[in-house]
Amino acid sequence: MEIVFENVDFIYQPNSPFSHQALKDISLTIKDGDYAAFIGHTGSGKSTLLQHLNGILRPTSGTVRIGDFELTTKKNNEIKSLRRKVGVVFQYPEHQLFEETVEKDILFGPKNFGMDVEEAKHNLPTILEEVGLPTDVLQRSPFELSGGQMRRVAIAGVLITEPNVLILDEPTAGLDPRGRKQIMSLIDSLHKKKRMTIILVTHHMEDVLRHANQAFVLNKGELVMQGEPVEVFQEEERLRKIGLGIPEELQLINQLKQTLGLPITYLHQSPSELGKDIAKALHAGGNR
Amino acid sequence: MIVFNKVSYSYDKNSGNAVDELSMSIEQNEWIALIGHNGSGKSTLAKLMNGLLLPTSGTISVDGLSLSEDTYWEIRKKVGMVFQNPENQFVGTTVMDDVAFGLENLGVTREEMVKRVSAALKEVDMYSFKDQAPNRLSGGQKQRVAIAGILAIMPEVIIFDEASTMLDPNGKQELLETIKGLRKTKKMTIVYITHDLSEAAYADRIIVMNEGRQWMSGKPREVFQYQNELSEIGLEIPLISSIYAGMNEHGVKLEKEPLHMKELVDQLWKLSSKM
Repeated sequence: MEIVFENVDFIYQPNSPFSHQALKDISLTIKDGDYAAFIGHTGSGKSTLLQHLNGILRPTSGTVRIGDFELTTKKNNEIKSLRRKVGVVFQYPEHQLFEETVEKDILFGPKNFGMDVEEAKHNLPTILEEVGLPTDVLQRSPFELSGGQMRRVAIAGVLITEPNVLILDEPTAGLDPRGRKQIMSLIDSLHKKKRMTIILVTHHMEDVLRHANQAFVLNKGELVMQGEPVEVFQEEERLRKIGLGIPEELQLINQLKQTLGLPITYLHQSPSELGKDIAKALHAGGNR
Repeated sequence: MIVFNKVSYSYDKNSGNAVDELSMSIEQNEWIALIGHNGSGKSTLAKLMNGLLLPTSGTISVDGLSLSEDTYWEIRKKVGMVFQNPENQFVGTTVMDDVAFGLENLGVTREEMVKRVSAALKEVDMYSFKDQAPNRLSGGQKQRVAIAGILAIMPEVIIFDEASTMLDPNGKQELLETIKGLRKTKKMTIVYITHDLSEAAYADRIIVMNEGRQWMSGKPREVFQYQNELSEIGLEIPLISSIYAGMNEHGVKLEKEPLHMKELVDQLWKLSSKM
C-alpha cells in the first residue's frame, strides 16, 4: 500500500493558549514495499506523524492517503479496517501484554477486529515460526518470557491480523545486542519474504543505514531531508545542526578522508570488511 | 569498597540462581562497567549491592559494613541508584524539591539541605533549571536531576542500572559526560550497568556477567580482544574494535587497541606519517 502525505499540518489543542503545531506542511510518499526510516530527535514530530498512519490522529489540514483510505479533517468510519491493514508495534510493546496466555494475547487482535478467530488460531504456528518463537510458548503466561520473547509475542499479535504495512517505534529499545540483531533480521525477513511495507522509527542510525531504503528526517515538525540513507547521511553538518549524528562507520570514513586522504566508499561492508578496506587503502598510501 | 563473598541469589526456589556463588570486589573510586546480556544477573547484582535484595547465601560488605537486615538502611545511604526510566523517579513539583526529597528522610537541617541541593544541581549542571517542573525536561536532563538527588545524599557509590537505555544518543552522551565530570571533582565509586560495550569503554574496568557468574574482568582494551567469545554470550564489541580487528588481520598494527574513533584516527595518522 502506498502512503502519501499531502501538505499535512497537525496542531495540538488548536485555538487555545496551549496550541502547538507538531507537523508543518508535510508532503511525502512511501512506496509500496519500501523500508522507510524516520529519524529526528525527541520532539521532532515523529510520533505525531506515525499516529496519522493508522488514524489515531487526523490532520488539522491536508490529506493522508494510505492505499484507498483517505484521512482528512473529516471523520472516517472505516478507521477499524485501516487499523487492520496498518499494524503498529509501539515502544516497549511488552508493557501492553495483558492476557493470561501467549495464545490469548496474540488472538486479541483478530477478536477485536471481528476476524475469524478459528482461522487465526490455525495460522498461529506459522506466525510463531515467523517471529522465531517455539509453539510451546502458547500456553505459557507472557510474563514468564524474556524481554526479547515478549517483544516477539507483541509483534506476532500484530502480524496475525495480516497487515500490509508494519510500523515499528524503536523496536529494539532496551534489548541486548543479540536481541537487537534478532529483531532487526526478523523485520528484514518480513520485508523481503512477505513484501510488507516497513516503517521504522529509531535513534539507531546504524540500523537506518543497514536496513532501510528510504530515510526521512524530521525537525521541529518539518520534513527537512529525505532520500536513500547513504545520501542523507552524506550531509553530516546539516544533521549535526539539528542534533542528529551519522552512523559511526560513515563518520570514520569521512574522518579518514579528511585527515589521511584515504578514499574509502561505503558499500554496506561488515565492520571487519571495512577494516580490511582501510588496511588496503593505507598500504596503497593515501593520496594527500 | 564493595566485596562479594560466594554470593548466591535466587528469586524462587524452583528456578536457578540469578547470581551464583559470586566472589568479587570493587575498589574505592573505581569506575566499573557491569555488562552482560538480558538475564545474565547484572541487575540482580546491582540490587544486592544496595540492599534492595539480601543474598540467599554468601556475604556482601559495603565500605566495611556487612549487609544484613540490620544494616541495609545504612548501606542504602552509601549506595545510590539511578534507574532506567527517568519518568518513574520523580516526586517533586520542581527540580529543586525533587532533589531535596531524599534528604527529608535523613533528618538534615534545612540550611544544610539548601546547601546540598544547590551543590548537587551545580555538580550536574542543572542549577539553572532548579525552579522548573521535572516533567518538562529532556530524558538526559531528567537523568541528571536523578543523579543530583543521589549526590545530595552524599553516597560512596552510585549505581547506574541501565540508566542510558531509554535515552536518545544525545542523552546518552550527556549522561556519560556528567559521570566523567563527577569523577574529576569527587571521589566516587561508579557501577555502570549496560549492554552497550561502547559505553563500557569509558570505565576503568569491565566485569562481564554470564549466567549469574563473573565471566571475565579486565580493562576495556583487554576485554574487547575477546570478540568471538563475547558474541557467543550475546554481546557485541564496539564497532571501532570490530573495524580494528579487520585492519589488524590485514597487517595494520597499532600501538594500543583503539577504544573509540579518535584513538583510531590519531594512531593511524601517526602510523601513516611514518610510512
